[in-house]
Amino acid sequence: MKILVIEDDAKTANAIRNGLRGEGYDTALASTGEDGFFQLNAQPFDLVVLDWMLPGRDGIEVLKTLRSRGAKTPVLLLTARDTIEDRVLGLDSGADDYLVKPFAFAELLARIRALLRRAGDTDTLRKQVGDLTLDVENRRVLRGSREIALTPREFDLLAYLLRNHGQTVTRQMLAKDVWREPHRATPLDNVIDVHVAHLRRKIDEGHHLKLIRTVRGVGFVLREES
Amino acid sequence: MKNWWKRRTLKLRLTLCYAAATAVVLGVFAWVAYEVVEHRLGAELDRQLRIDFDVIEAQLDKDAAGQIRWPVRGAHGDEGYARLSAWFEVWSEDRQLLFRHWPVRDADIRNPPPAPVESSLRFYTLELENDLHVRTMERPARVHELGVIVRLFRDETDMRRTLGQIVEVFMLAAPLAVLLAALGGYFVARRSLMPVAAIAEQARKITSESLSKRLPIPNPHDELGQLATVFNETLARLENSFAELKRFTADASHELRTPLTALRTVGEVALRQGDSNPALRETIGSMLEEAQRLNDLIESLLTLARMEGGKISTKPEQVKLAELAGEVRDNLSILAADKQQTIDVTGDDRLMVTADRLLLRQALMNIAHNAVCYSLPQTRIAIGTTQRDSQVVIEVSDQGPGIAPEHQEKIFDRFYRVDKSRSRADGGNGLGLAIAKWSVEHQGGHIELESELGKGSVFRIVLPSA
Repeated sequence: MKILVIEDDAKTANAIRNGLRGEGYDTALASTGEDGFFQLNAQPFDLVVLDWMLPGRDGIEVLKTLRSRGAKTPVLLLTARDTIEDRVLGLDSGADDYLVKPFAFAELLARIRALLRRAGDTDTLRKQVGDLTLDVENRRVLRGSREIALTPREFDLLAYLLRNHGQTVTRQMLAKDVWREPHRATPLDNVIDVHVAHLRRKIDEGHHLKLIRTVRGVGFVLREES
Repeated sequence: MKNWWKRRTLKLRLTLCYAAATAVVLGVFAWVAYEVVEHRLGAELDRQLRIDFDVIEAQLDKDAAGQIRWPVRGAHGDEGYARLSAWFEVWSEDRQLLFRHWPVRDADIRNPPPAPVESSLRFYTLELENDLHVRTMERPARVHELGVIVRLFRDETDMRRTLGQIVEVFMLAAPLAVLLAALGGYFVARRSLMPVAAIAEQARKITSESLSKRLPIPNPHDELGQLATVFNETLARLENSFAELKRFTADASHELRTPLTALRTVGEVALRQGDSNPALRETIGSMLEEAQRLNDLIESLLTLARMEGGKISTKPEQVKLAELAGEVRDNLSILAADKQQTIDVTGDDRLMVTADRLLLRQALMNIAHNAVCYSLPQTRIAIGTTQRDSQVVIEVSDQGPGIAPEHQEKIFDRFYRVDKSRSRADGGNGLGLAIAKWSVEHQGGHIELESELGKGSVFRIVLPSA
């Protein structure tokens, strides 16, 4: 998988490249719109991470030119602009997804994965991690042979963690995707923390292998290996 | 007295000033008029006395025995002399009464004036009995080589009556004139101060939310027009600084996002790349937590800046209040359960309001979240929805520590904290209530707060129904 990151802030760009390489993506960097455009013409990419605010040609211009030439490469737009109008403009210009700065790298990864999946990858939804099994249709959860009673919210939370199995999910992602809370200024963080704590107690208590972990400063991850 | 004066309205003070000025002017005028009339009448009496003297001196005669005679008495002579109400005495130079002619008989004179003191021309006023004042003139004269002093009298009653009438007229007319002046003053003051009242009324309506409004200037050339102009200039400056403040908040929040993005990405990627030193991981994690908090703070600030900048559009829709309250309870009940608190939702299920659902929900969420955070364990939090006249009310009451009166006004200010150490540990950023307040007020409502230390607080979101 080849990803092009067009971002003018060197630190952010380098960190994204290092992070993506760590996840096994072949990543190239461009610091201006022109440079990015040049690289896109030179070789094919599976996905473009594009910053809106760029010196010279800005992200929207690059995106429009790209789309006007018929390129179907998925584009993830990064921006510090987050009004609804900006969002609409970004998506209308041909962006496939939209991520507001400052974002959590974990969320960037999740979105990149989703875009690549949408672009034709296999369905990665898993129903089992270690000895934990999720029966989505009947909304039942088993750890080994023991059935665990979960509240609807806990079930949704677990399903979300399982879908992103092995990947860190942030509180922001949970607020948006599980709680469906559109306002970022609404105080949900400690609500989420308590739910995760309850879920962890139900899933992991009495088991040697802990499945739900907290990644300090980032979020939570469901993972079987230690 | 000074304080009393200062507490009166300008209108009343002006009126009183008019009245006082009129009274003083009238008083001075009356006094001058009285003096002038008195002087004129006095002078007239004196002139008549001189004429009397000339006439009488010419008529006085001395008989063979050396007695003074006044042949006019009883004689049929000149009518004019007879009509002259002559009233005089003739004294010798050694102060002996030689002749007396009074309008009453000698026997009736109860209180005769003493002998003349000097032998020179003198005018003075004498008081006889019964308040009878007479103008008196003494003048030396000669009757056939006999040196005498003639003393003449004239009744002052007419003059005094005239003066008394003048005083009466002033006593009657002055209060009336002062009253009229006060009335006139009141109307003039009211008329000229009416624009001031209008300006005050208009200015009162201008708040930090409506700084773009200006006062009407009926006439830019008069004092009130100048006042309004100055006021408007001040408003313009105020509006500018408010706008700058808002712009600054928005710009700063915006600019902070770029370094914050780098900070978070670098930190997270470092954590991912699996340096196994636990202390280092702990440090990075801790820094990321702070970065996240900074992030939340910037989000809230930006939300607020955008709200105040009018950049948030509302989508009014029919909102079922009970449903909204239920949602908020469901979200927060887990926090409450952790502290063994209960959240009760009460109210009419059918109660609806037209509002932006998301903004209203956020406001309620922020208020209810505070209630859960600040209340002690094992207490009860109630969310009630009711109709109050033409308004709907969402009431959040808790049994928390309450808010002291001095904090109640400010608690909706951004970053205001009642207890600085406590709330920060709870993770709030000090903007929740400011956002709630704006969200509600932007929809034509307001938030009421009723709180008593030690008993708890009641927050009421009041929205116009209809």
